[in-house]
Amino acid sequence: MARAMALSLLLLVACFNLASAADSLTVVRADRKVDLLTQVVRVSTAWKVQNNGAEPVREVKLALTSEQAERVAFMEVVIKETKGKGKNAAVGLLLPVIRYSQEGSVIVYTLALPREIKEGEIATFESYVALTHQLKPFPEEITQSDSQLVKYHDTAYILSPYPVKVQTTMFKLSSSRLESFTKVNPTKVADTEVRYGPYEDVEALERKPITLHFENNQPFAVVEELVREIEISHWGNVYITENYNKLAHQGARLKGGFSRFEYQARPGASGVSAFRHLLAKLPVHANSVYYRDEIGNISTSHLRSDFRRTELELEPRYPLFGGWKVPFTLGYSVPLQDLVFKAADGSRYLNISFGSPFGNIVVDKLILKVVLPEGSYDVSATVPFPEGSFEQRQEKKFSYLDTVGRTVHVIVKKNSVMEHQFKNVLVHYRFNPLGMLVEPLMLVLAFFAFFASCIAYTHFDFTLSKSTSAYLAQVQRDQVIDVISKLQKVLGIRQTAEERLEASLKDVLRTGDITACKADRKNADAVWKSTSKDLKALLDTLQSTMKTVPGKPSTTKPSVIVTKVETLLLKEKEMVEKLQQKQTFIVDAYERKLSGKEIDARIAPVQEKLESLRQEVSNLRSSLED
Amino acid sequence: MAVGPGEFGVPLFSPVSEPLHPLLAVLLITIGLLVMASFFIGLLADHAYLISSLSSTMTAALLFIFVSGKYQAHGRAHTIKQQRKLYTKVWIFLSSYEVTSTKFSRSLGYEFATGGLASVFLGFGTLFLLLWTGVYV
Repeated sequence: MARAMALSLLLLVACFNLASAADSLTVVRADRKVDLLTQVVRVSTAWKVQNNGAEPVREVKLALTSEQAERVAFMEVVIKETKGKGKNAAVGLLLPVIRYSQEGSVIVYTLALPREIKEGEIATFESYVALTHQLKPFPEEITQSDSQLVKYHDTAYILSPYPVKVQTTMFKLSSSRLESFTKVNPTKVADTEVRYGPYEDVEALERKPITLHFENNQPFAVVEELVREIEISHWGNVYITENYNKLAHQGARLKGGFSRFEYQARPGASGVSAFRHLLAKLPVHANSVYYRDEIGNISTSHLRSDFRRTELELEPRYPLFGGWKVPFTLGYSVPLQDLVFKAADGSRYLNISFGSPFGNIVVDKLILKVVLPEGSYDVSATVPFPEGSFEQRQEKKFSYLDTVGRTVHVIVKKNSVMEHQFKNVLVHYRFNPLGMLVEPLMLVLAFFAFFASCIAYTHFDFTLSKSTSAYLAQVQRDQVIDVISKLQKVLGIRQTAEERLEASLKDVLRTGDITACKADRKNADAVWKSTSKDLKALLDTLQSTMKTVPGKPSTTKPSVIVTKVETLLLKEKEMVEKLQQKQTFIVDAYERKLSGKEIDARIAPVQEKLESLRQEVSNLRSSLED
Repeated sequence: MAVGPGEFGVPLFSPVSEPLHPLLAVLLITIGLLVMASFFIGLLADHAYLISSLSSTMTAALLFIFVSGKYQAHGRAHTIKQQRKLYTKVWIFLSSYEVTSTKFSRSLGYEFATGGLASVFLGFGTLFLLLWTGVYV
């Protein structure tokens, strides 16, 4: 029993020791600047901590109230280290958040230090937190000519998990009109600044709530949901489509109607808290920008681009007053080489900024969808936010020329502000380059299917009966045409031989070279001999096809064709013989060295006959093509 | 994962650079149309509607040639005359199938080959046509 008690006491003491070791830091000095210029509250605090414990400390903690923690959009803690010597020796190192825990109504974030703080040592670091929806409009409804007043709730003492020795806080307001503020001595108001402090010896997690009520006419543009879809095509382009599902003015709501006349006539005094323009900073080589909504294209926009940046100024269809909403879609294309890179190990990655390109807007829910080309695998993402503040999942999308669908990597985050424009998301994936051929191959197959169907159509036999006279006549006609075309082919060969011989004869008349002529004659003779056999065979088949026609009245036509063919063949034979004759004459004449005139005299009659025969042959041939 | 802090990857470029898109589209589709014309002539050598198929594919091919001639004359070193010679040579070669084919002398293999070749050219030409017009598939 006594031993158990001793053990439990020991445990208690050990726990206390651990607890004290964790809280052995004290803040020597803390200076906070709260920026209340726009709708986003930006708190930058400079901390100077000292290790008063017995052990070196590796972690440092930061605290936020649970309401604030719900709306924290951006948190960054930087510690300055001197690396080496020189002017640029001071380097800011980012401290990663390793865990957060809830203690009562306060969320405590624990950050890891790069280098431990030894006993008695002092370290300085800066924290920067951006919070949304902290400025609440009060009064909640205003007329068109009123100015917008907002209330801001905070504490005069900096919320810290460590005791603070000396601290000051400064609030920077957007205008010098300060309706009311809580006084916590010492407090000083100077134009647009309210200074609280210095306060001394404040306990850990001690709070002193204060409220500031001041004028803020900056645009309170809040997007309820933004879907950014980034579609990568390896053929050279990245499509970015941003769907703003209701951009709303979440400041003081407008009451009492909207007078367009007053708004336009007195711009300084009417609708001071309303806004008309939105400025977006797009990637440098952004092109094909479009701005549209459900109705259609919105033409009130200006795109200004130079070699350094591209700026897009949008003007919605109507100015936005409190409580008014406008949905729209913005889309643009960026060349592939600006956003997608190849890593050293062969994988590819997309490097894109996370936030919306518009400055000064708050996005309540940002969904980033990266559509990777078909055939991508091993998809993973490096997201620059602490674990637990975002969600990831994968979907499938069917787009142009897709078979199995494209992998989509989705990242969902709440509370996005302008600082996220400088935070890049890396989406890694692997892709086989041959996969790019799937798309053209699909087109090729589509065209080939069309051609194959044409072939199938013409090769299928759709006749109902194979014994009707009409069908048989058709078959006979096809056969006749077949034979005649073969005939034409053979005659064509013979004609080329003939023309070649004629040409060589002309050459002889010019140059007097007989040997070439003789060689040509030999070739021509060979051709004529072989083709005459073919001609005979064709004539026989023609006659046989003519015979097998059943009782059809128009049998005169086939016989006409047969006679025509026969006369043609005879004439052609005669022509060939005459040409051969002419050639022998000329060769003879040259061997005997006769004069030009005599040669001409001898071949003249032959030549005439030849010409007339040629005419007849060509006439018959063309008439056969019926 | 694969890229640590401070590491840089190499930018990824398209396999076919952008200025080539219009050129390749026009060239491939023109050749595809010519091959398709020859395919149809060979296929329908003995049918009555040969004339319609012939004329339609010829006009399509000529239109494309005209368009490409207009475009290419600005960008390339060849003159229009040289192009026309080239196209007529191709045309004559391809249509030689016509004068020698009938219902009994055409071959299935030749037709599939011509159809396949035409579909390859037309398929790739259509891909580059899509890329040229901004539909990055």
